Amino acid sequence: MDDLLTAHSSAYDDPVALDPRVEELLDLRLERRRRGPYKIISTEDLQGKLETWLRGDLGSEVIISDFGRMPGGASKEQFSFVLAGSDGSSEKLVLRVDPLESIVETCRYRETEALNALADLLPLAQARFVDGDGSKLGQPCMITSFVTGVTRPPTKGKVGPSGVGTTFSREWRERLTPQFVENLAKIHRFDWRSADLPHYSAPTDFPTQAGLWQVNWWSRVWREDLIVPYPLLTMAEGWMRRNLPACDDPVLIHGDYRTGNFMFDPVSGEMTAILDWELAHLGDFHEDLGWTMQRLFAGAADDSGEVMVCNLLTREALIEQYERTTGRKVNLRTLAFYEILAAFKCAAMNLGTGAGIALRGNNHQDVVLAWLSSVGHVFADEMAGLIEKEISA
Amino acid sequence: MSPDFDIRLISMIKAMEEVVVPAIPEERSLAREQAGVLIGHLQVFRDQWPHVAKYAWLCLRDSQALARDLIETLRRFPETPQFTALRNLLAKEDLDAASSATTVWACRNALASSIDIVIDSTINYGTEVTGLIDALVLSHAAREHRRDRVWFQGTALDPDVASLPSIEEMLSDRP
Repeated sequence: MDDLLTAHSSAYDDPVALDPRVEELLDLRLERRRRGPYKIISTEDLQGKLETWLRGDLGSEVIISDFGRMPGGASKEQFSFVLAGSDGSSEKLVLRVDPLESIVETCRYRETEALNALADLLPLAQARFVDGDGSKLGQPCMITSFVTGVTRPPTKGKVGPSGVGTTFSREWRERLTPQFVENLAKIHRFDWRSADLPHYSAPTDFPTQAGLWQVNWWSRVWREDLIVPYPLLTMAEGWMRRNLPACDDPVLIHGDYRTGNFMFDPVSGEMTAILDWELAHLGDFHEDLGWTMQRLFAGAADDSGEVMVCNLLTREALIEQYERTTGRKVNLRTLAFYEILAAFKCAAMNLGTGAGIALRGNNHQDVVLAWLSSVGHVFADEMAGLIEKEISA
Repeated sequence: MSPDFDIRLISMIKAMEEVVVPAIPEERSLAREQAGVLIGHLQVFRDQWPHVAKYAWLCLRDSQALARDLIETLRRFPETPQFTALRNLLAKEDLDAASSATTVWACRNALASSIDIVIDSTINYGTEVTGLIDALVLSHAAREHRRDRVWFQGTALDPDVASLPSIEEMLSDRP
């Protein structure tokens, strides 16, 4: 049997090594899991706690008004309100609060740090306040500016949950695609080494560390969250471990870059905000491309019938435009790895995390998570096809 | 068994659509959203419930086929505790036609779990072994997850839902 075993047990294939902050978050969520079921926050209670917090930070003259729950949001509870200061100023803000368990476990400090670091480079909401450990509001949360704009075209096109399945006309594709590619390029060009990102860690100890951290993160999530076992995911984990790509130049990764996560002006088409930075981390640029290219986020163009990545451009066009805009060369084997990883993450999130949260009643949207859980089979099926293609290549 | 599931589901859906949802104020967005999802769940139940038992058996038989294929393929390699456990579990099936869908599904899950343990135990074996295992699992997965896509097509979340057969057509296929 020993002849069958290949070399193991070194840093290069350590199956538990993680980005330290991710490890901390995953440990904390196991502890919180036992505190359920989750009672949905009463807006009156929450407003009271918010007033206490902000008056403590800003002074007792501030007034909070128009406090109300926002629609959507399967990951965080979202509320909007107006904050008026003693100087007569007022601003509309958005409060995002972590429920007991979310479909992804992420860091409000990291999200705030990304927004602050990129504030001058990209259209973003402004990070205004953060309570990363829940010591002020009772649950981790952050407050950002309220951004105007839409995530789908105002007249034509259908839309699914979280922007999935949104279609764009040719006119809208032509307006939005250049911005979509350019903004991704800006994220990847960003000089994170000079930025203030204390909750981020760089996978720079050895070339395969970027991929290894990701595989370790999401395989841990699957193992801890699985309700029903699926041998494909165990096999896929093994395949990824045996095929880790090298990354010598980690970049800032958005982590959820796709249609549904950018807003634009419905008249000018100018993008007004890139949303949902909660999965941001440092890693291989192919990871954002692989995520963006997933089948669930794609759709057939109404005019031509071609399948468009994020309903904006073909896969080939995205690669060509990304290379031209960034000067980087896309490695197709590395891209395939990260497409497989992306599908693994989504299969784990939906079939494992989401289903488990719904079973435990630990979220404000259990019934939505139960509904969305089945989409994990779409990702799993896609992942099987991608791995088959790589093995046959 | 009257009123059967169909009667109850139809009436629940109608009550939600025509009485409950219209009574929820527009500004109660979370309630309206979740009521809509609830209606969706009930509609999908209505499509699925007539086929639950047959579906559970189909899933179990396919997992058993994977387990047998794995055991057969790994027979020429040294026996391990994980292989032995899978073989013993496969031999242990004590279900019959009267077994409930829940029991059948639990058997499927126990088998899948044991298969997972075998796959895990061979993760650092050479490519001769991992290649064989990968091929078997991929072949099984192509059936399993496509089958589940068909089972849940009523959610309309699948971007390729138009290409899927009906649940009845899927159940008439055999692994």
